[in-house]
Amino acid sequence: MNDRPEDMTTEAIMVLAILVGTIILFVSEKYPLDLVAMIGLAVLLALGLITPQEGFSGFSNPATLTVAAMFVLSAGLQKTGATAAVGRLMVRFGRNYYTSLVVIMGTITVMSAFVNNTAAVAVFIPLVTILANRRRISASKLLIPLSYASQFGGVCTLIGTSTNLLVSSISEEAGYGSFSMFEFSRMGLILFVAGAAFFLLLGRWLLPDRQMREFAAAYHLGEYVTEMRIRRGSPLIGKSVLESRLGEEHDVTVLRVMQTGESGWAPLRQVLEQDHVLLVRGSLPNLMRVRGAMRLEMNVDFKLRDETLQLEDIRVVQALVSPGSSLIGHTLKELDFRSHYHALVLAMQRRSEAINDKLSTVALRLGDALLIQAHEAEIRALRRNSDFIVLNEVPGAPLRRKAPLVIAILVAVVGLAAFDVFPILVTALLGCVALLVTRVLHIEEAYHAINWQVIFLLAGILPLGLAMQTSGAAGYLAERAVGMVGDIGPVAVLAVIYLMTSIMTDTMTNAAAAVLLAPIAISTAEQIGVDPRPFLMAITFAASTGFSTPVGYQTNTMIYNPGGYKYTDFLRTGVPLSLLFWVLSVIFIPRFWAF
Amino acid sequence: MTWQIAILILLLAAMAYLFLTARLPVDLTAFLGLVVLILGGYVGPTEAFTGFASPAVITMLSIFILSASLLYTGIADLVASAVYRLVGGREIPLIITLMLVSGVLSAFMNNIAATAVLMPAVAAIARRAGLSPSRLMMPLAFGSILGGTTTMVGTPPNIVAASILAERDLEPFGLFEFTPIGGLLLGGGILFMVTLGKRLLPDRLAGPGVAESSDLTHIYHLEEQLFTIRIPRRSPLDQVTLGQANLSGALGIQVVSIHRPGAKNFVPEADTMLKSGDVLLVEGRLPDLEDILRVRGMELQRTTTREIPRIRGFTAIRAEILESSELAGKSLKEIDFRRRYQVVIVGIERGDLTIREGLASEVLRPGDRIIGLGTRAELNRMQSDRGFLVKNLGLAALKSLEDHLSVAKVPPGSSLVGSTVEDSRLSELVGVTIGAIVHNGVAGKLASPDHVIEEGDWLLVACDTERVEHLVRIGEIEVEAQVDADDLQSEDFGIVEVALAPRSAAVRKTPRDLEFRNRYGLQLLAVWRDGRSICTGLADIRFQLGDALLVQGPWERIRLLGSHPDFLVLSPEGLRPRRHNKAPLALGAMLLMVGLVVSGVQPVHVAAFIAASLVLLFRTVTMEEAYRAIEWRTIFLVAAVLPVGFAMERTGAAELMVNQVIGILGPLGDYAIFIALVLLASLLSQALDGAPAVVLLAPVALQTAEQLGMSPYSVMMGVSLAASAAFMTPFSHKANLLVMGAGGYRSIDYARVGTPLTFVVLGILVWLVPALFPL
Repeated sequence: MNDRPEDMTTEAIMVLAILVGTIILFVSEKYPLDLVAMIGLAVLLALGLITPQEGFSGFSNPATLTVAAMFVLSAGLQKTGATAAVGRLMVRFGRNYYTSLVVIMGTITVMSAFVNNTAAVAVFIPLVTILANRRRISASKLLIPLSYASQFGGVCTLIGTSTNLLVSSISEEAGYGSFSMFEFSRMGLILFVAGAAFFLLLGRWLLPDRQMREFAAAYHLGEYVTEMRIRRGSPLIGKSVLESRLGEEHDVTVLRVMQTGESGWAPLRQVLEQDHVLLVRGSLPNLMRVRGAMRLEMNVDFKLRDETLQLEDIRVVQALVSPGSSLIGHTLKELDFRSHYHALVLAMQRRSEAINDKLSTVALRLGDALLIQAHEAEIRALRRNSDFIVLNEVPGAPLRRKAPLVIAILVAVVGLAAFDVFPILVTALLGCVALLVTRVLHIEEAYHAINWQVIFLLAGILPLGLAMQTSGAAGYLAERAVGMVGDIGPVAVLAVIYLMTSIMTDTMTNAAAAVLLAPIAISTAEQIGVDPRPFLMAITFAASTGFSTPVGYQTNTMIYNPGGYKYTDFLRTGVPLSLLFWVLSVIFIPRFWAF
Repeated sequence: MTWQIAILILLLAAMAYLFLTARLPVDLTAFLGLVVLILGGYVGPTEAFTGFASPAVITMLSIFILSASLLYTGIADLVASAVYRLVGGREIPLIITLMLVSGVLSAFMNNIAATAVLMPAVAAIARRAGLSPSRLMMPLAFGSILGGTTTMVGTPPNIVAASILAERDLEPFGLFEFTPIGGLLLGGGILFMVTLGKRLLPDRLAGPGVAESSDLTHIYHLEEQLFTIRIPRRSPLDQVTLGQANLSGALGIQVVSIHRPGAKNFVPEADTMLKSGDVLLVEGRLPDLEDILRVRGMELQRTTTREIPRIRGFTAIRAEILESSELAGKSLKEIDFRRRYQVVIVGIERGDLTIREGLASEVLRPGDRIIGLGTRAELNRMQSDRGFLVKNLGLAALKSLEDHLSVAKVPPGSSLVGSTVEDSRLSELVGVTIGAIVHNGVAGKLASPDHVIEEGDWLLVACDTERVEHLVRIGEIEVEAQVDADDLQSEDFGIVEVALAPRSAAVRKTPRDLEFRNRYGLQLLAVWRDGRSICTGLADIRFQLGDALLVQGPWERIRLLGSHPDFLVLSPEGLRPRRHNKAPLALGAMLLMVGLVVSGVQPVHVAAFIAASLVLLFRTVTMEEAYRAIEWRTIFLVAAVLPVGFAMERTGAAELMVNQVIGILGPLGDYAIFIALVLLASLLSQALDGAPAVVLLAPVALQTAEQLGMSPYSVMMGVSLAASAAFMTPFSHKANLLVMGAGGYRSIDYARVGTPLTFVVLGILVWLVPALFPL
């Protein structure tokens, strides 16, 4: 056993080094995932560890292209408002906690079996918050089930989630054939039933009960908003709010000028006079500085209530940064948010932590919740804008005439693939072309609908899996693994593979976990002389479900803020559920896919 | 010829037809072709998609990213501003420098980006030199197209040609193998432009972008659109915000700026408070405004259905339009409903909606329920019409209009007096439908279009009462005379021209969709398209690539617009902040790519990909910016067309075509065949992008070369260079389209200058390629 390291070629060592580097970068979140994948590929190419043809094969890989096509199909469905219509039905049928749970989990599972999970959840989040409000259930009791159930749906069909397609294509390349459309369905159904039962029986106790607090309290706005009276001799007197340059020089925003009757909200041209009372927002040091410099008097008894922020037509809403939003990566300052959307961002929450300081210079991320104050009309515009998910508001997509057509196209895509008339990639392409020819989508909208981050991630990471195989690195790792657990039988190996995939999915991205573990699983199966398909299934199921952390799966990130969750909430519900799924998979996978 | 070949050739013909007519987006046509190939079993499902990983696609992807890095680090700006500083105002040196600079830039950048980055500088230079931009914009676009031909990575056709050679296990073109010929093409192009081209270029002072802002307004024919109104003392508009006053909704005018005694001119926002004494500079149609103001002094009295019988002899009808009706699909205006049926339609119910305004142009649909007023006799006649199903007859039919019926008195001295119902345009402009007229207290008459309104008449009208009351209230404004253009410009705010950036998200959207004014804080004054200016109905005009927009507003907002990726502000204010400190990294990556290729360490696509990954790693461009910079259309077009090439070869269709060609041209010698291929490539690329044209021609070209023992290199070089010679229409190349609005060109201008240039380029090609690379 000691001479193993000598067995490893230099190439395998280099590939492993790149692998480790990539994983570290994935986990550290310092660079975007797609960039890491591309750099990994560039290094592989530069060092000659794979041929250019292999290296770029990720771009023409059926999995990559099918995922791209599915983005377009999902966008078509969403544009017709079909998703939102189903969601509205859900609101109607949820009567109490249990029926709500059942309808939410049932509809989202079916929906996300065929469309992209994040897209489906994005449409459902505002509807679930409406339902929760109406039935006086706290949203935190419903949103985790929503996110998890979308993942149950994802493992019901081949197109349910990108990792399924990915593992299928790896399996095909390794000579073990691709997966069929409903190959997962039996297992997926078992998991769905188990998951639903889990929440119906234990949800009451495991899910936290976070009552909706006032916005002011939830976002800790109280420390940042106060009232100031303009004293005699203040340099502000006679200037308009704009001319006072309070915003530019002191980072203090005037939210309202009280006592002027028709003051309106966030007035820029309002001329300030003595004894005007200003409602201002800023950090305490800035407020103190302004108080001194501008001769203002602070109202020490002031206590911020939500009503103070809402005037007749001016409302305060929470909006999430949606998946694929063009806001991601930009700061509010760069976006010129105020003049662009005619709305003020009062505060922000990330992972349920309020961010109030230097608000305008924080780069936005997926799932960030913004507390937005704006005129009714502007809020309506935000609702229609796909860059945001406005909570507690019905999303603005109208049910259009073409909905039946789009649904028919989707059924045809799935049906043709299910009956093996054509491979899924071909039917998905057919579906896209049909959407374009029937003018449901314009071709530029189609390009826009594709989440290139995912595509480049897949295209960049697939060759790494390939390089592991060709360089012998996968074989080496498999040998070591077999050396450790080989004697305990294939079922135990399957259990280990599932667990490893699950852990990697929760800490980095699921696509990477699947691509990197699949070659090892295949080599392991070959070495112990069993069919690798059960192992690949274990990887698929484990990689397509990430329950235990809020970052393990994009839908978890999206519900983090609206549910007011804490990190531990995901551990408390996710870990038992993951264990349940692990046990069920270890029992049932060998039954459905024999070794 | 087998049936397989026949179908393939049919497919090719259909695709060519769709490409040429542009009935569908070209990339969609390519995908349709791909689908047919797969369904017909010409290519296997896996093989069909190998195009996405082909060296051509990877190289194009990488070059798009690299050229974005040159853009975002300001290297391209540096070049642009150098031109601005170094060159004087004389035309010939200007054209030469511009074409050289854009040529050199686009040798390593994509042609469209090179054109776009130089446009603001060129507009500024033209302004300074007192030249019409039409003299410089076209040379700019042509220079960058020609410059692209000087390296293998400079333009997609070259990249594709090299990649096709590589796929056939032939040595691909080297990075600089195109340089001698490409350089001479650029030289020839420059020579042409400063001699003959200079004479052919339009000198259109009527083109936008010239000299001063007063000229801009003149060019855009804005004088007729701009006038001032004064808010009189004790006007109801005093102390009302602009948003509440809703002048654009009520009066159809846009407030451009406000002049207030004792204050500077400023651009108002929705929450700006109006004051009496304010003079508003507004844009709109003066005759329309004057017609609208005819409602001044009118008094409305709301009325209910119960009170209507006062106007005797009348009743109402509510009838559904049946599927079989010939009226469905036509507007009331087209039907001339009022004259034809002697019935006035005052509302249309559609589903749960009741449409009350803009009835004349509303297109009727089956299932609509129309609500009309008329005499009982006429309505009975309607009842027997087979196109209608009468739901109610009698005043109950007016139920859904209950709150919208009023009786209005025409006051003495009203400007309505003496005009006919039709001429008053009340319905069109303010949504007031006149149903009946009571004259001298005598029983009412149905208001026919020719009826003359007289003093003291009572009108039964259907309208949005609140809107009309609002209108009557604010109607007391004083319309002043036309204005000087100087009023539009001051220290704080100015007028600039803006072009749409390539891949702008604003394309196909209307200013209304974009909420242009709200979002950018700028007033859109006019749009320049196809050689003329459009000033009316701007809110609903769909932007196209190639439009030039005239906008006005505060300089700070103009600068902000300049940093927006969707727009190119054609003035020095348009320069956007760049990551200058990272410029060396971007240049370094570019040099690394050249080094890797020239030293033979890596093939071009791998070198380009490594360089692209590096610029991304160094954050000279972010991933989002990179995805934006990639022309997906070109990528997908090439990837989808590549399998067509395979299929042509595999089925023998290529061979068949080649045999035909050789049969006809063979006796004339290799040289004639070479010329024919070059001509064909050039022709195809006028309609299609150059790259797919090369893909489609390559099988034929290579097969010919093989059969006649010609060198595949010379043939492919001829084809790919000819495919870049796309000058004849604005749509031949996106760079042409980009400068169309800014240069004020019409399609004919491209044909006039581009056609001789194409011949010059092709002439140089057929002379030089065989000389340097023997056939």
